[in-house]
Order: sequence, then C-alpha cells, then structure tokens
Amino acid sequence: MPSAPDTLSQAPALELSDLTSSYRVGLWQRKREVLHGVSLTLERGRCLGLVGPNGSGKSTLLQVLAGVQRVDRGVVRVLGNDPRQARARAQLAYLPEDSPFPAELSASAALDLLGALAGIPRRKLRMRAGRLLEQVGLADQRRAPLRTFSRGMLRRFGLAQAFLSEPEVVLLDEPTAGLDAPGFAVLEALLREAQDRGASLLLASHLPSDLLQHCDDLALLLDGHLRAHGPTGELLAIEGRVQLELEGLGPGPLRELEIWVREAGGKVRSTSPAGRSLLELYAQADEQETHA
Amino acid sequence: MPRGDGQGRYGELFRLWMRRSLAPSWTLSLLGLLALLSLADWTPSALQAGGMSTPHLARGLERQALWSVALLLLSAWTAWHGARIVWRWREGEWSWIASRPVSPFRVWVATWAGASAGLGLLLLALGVVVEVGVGLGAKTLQMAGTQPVDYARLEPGQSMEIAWRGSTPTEGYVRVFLRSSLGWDPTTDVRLEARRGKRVEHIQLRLDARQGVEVKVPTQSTRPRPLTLTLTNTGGGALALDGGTPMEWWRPAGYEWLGSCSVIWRAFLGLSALLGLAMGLGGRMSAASAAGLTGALLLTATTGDLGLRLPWIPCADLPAVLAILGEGRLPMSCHLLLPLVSVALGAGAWWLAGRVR
Repeated sequence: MPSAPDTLSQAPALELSDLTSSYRVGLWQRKREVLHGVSLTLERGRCLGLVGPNGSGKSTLLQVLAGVQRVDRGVVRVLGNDPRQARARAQLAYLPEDSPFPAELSASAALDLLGALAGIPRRKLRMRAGRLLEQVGLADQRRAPLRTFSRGMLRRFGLAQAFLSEPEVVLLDEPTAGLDAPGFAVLEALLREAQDRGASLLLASHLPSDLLQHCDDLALLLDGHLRAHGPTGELLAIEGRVQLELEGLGPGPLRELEIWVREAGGKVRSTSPAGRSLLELYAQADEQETHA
Repeated sequence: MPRGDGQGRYGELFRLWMRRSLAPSWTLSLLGLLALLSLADWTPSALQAGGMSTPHLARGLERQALWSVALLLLSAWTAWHGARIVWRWREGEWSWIASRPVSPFRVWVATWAGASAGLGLLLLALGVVVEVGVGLGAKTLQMAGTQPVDYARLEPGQSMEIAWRGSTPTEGYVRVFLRSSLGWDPTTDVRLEARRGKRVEHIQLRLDARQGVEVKVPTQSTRPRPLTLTLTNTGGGALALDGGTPMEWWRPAGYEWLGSCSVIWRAFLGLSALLGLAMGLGGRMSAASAAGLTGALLLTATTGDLGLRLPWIPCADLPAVLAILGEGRLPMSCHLLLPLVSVALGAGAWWLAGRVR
C-alpha cells in the first residue's frame, strides 16, 4: 500500500465529485444554489478550458477550487488536498474575474502584500515580483497606484500576482478579458512557462476561442450543471464534417472541386476566405504602427 | 515556493488596513475642522456674564467641546468604515485573500487590528490638535473613587450621616450632589462636614438648584481612619440628597492635558470594539444597515446611566468622561475589563460575520 505522500503525489491536480455550492444572502444567510452536482477531474500537467455563458457558475467553480467559496455537498481536492486547508492553497494560484486588488497600493506594494499572504520569503518575493512586473510590461509603472491602471494593465497585474509563487495549479478566470495584443503575448508566455514547468491549468472563459489553442480538454457548464467534458478536438468536432483550408486555387478550379464533391455524395456547406486569428491581426497592426 | 506550512504573513495586511483608516482626505478634513473649532470660545455666555468663568474652566469646556465633536464624527465614520470592510471582501477582495494559504481568523484579526491601529493614530493626531488649541493647562484633580448614595430628603434643621465605605479617601475632596426642593422659595442653606477621627473639615453654602457640593478631606493621620460625612440642612427650605449620582472622591493628580490622554485611550478601546462589531454585522447585511445598527447600539450604550453601572462596556463611559473634562478635571482610570472586552468584541465579531467570508 502506498504511503500518504505517494498517494498525494499521484493524485489528480483537481478533482470534483458531486459538488454543490451556494451563496448565502441576507441577515438569515439564506442559500442560493449556484453549482449542482458537478463532477470533474484534471490530471496533472494538463490544461482544461471551462466554458459556458455568463452566469453559468464558472467563476463560482473556480472560487470553490481556490478555497474562496464554501462547498455545501460533494468532494473537492486540489493535488489531493482539501482547498480549505492552507497546504492546498499554498500550491495554487488564482486570478479572480474582476481584478479586485487594493487600488490605493502601487503594483509593487500590492505584490508585496499578496506575496506575504502567500508566505513567500521576503528576498525571493522581491526578486520574483521585479521579474514578473518586467515580464508583464509593468516595470515602469511599479510605483503607480493600481487605481491609475487601465483594465488591461490591471489584468496584467492580475497575471503577475497569479504566477508570483510558481504554482503547481493555476486557476485563471476570464484571463483574456481586457487584454491588448501585447497582453495576449504575455499571457501566452506565462501559460507556456507554466506548462513547461508541469503545472496544471484551468482557464475559464465565456469566449471559448480564447482558450482552444492551450486546452487539452474542455468542460461546458450550463446553469451550474456540467453538460459536457472531454478532449477539445473531440468535443468540438461535428461528426461527418471536415474543414478544409486551401491555398493557391482560383475560382475556376474551386468550382470544379465543388462539383466533384457533390458527385462524390458530399456537400460543400460554406466557402469563405480563410481568416487570420485575432492575435495575428493584433501582431500585424502592432508591426505596422511600429514601422509608421 | 511558499512556506511548507502554508501560512502567510499578515503584517502587510495590517499595514493596508491601518493605511485605509488614515485616508488622507478624511484625516486632514477632521484635523482641519478641529483646528478651526479650537479658535472659537466655548465658554457659555451665562458663565462669562456671571463672572464664574476661570481660565481653568474655559480650557476644560473647550477640551470637552472639541473632543465631543471629534468623537461624534469619528464614531459615525468608524461604524461606516467597519461595515464596509466585509462589504469590500464580498465585492471581490476576499478572492485574493482567501485563495492564499492564510487562516481566515488571522486575516480577520490582522484586518481589525490594522484598522484599529489607524484609528489609534488618528486619535493621537486629534489629541495633539486639541491640546495645541486648548493649551496644556495646570495641575488638576482626578476622580479617585465613587460610592452610590440613596435618595434622602432633609427638612430644615435635619441632618444625616454618610459613611464612606471601601478604600478611604486620604486627601483631596469629596463631592455630593444636592438639590433644594421646589417650592415658593427654592433656596436653602447646607453644611457639609467631613470627619476622620478628631479631624474635621466643613463647608457651608446657599443652595438654589441641583449642585455638587465639595468638602475637603481631612488629611490622613498615621493610622487610616474611616471617613464620615455629615449633611445638615441649616436653611429654611427642604433639601434632597441626589441618589442618581454617586458620591465622588477627587484627589490632586496630573495636568489637565492628561484628560485628552484618557479620552484617547478610552476612545481607542471603544471605537476598536465598535469597528469589530460593524465588521461582524457587515457580514450579515448591507454596509448601510450594518453601520446604522452599529450606530444604534452605540447610542444605546452611551445614553442613560449605563456607563456608571457597567463601565466595562466600550464607549459607555465616554459621555461621563467628557463631562468631567468640561470641569477641567481628570476622569478615573478606565475599568480593568475594558481592554479585554474590546479585544473580545473585535476578534469575536468573526463569528458574528457568519459564512459570508
């Protein structure tokens, strides 16, 4: 039988079983249920995208995993530990949805506060905070109060605070909200760095296209219920349909190809010019501006 | 990596809330207002016209007025400030606090202690402004003890004895509150005598309303002897001993400015408890409701004679202390239980806050 530490080291990064969670409101703390019987597992080193419309319970689910929100029923484990235990929270990082960081503090002082709460030793905190502010492009604003930051800058600060402790599990709620093109690049770099380190990622967004390229798996949350969960490719694939991207054919050959497909028993559902990704567009615009 | 035991450090959180209690716009407005008010003359015109105003009394009245305004504003602000702490948490701050390896109770204590420390610094700054405005003053008397008395009515020629129980006054003055009975002639003469062994001190005066009458305590002989007061109605009208106010012993003590120190310490303990209470209530209702309810509880604690009967209740004795300051004198040391009660209320409000956190 394996010893306890062995069991913990083999435990999934995140494990939810029949999770029900509710908010308490008013003087008598009445319950308002938000998550209903959610079961989900994220293996170590993988990246899971949590998608769903606004109000589906994504943020609540992340709060439960971060130990911020209580659980009414069910089991929640982060690296085999209950997230209500400080030990589990020491190994995770969380980016909340609205960047509610202390607005009166400078970026540097706010990282000192957040790092101190995380228990990071002072010297290491100072070094790591400096490097992260540099990485997210806020080194010049390190002494400026957070209340003077734009939404995108606050998001970058949020990313810096999330990666302050080199966490094993990263929970990011709407990480791309408000980010500009360089901000996307910052996020990409931080995610890549975390994945290279073997960290497990859970990214929540109501815009799945933001996340697809990073996520091994996708989970769909609707009205607090987990409606679908599986590998991203499988989940988004439509049976019997293939997407084909062509280059170098004029209108004539394309017309012939369409006729051939029809004769072979298939159907061309749509034909449109292939689009570049938003990131590529941002990068190109940035480049043009630099040249100008 | 974070520390193995997963416990964060709370000093920065303490500093954050201390800083928030000292928001520059609020702090400077309050200090400026008090500095302006200190330029005014706070001695009632009736006292000035009657020639009863002395520099000692004028300083006392000004000190009382300035502290009354300051504490009124500060207590209202404290209730609102405390109630908004958990509101801020609910609005999102709890997400970056609770996702760290911290103990929620220690977070509560660090937040409460930091906000209270800010209040303490603000009170100290207010004290400096008050004393600069008033002037530090001369040596004065401090209340050293009280003893409840029963209501009694003395017809002309009647007298009564009151023995001082407990620790016997050794020096200074003893004061009793008397009232001449209403009638067509509401004046009478009274003689108050203090006796300790063979030594006797007395005072004789005409009384025409409710008035505190003071007699010097005979100096202590080598062996402590009990102190007995004899009250005699030597006039033509009726006389009543006011049982609603206890008999007081005043002894020579420090300087007048120590009165501000006493207010600062009491207000610090009281407002810290109030802050904790508002924080706790803020966990169960909106910030406005929590601030309102905290204010109502404060009013309940500071009106009536609660401060006399239960001086360990935070803020309860502040009105009486301010009244003593108005006489240019110093209040008694605060009740020994008051610091404990304040800490218990501030930290214990964690449980009151419920599961919102």
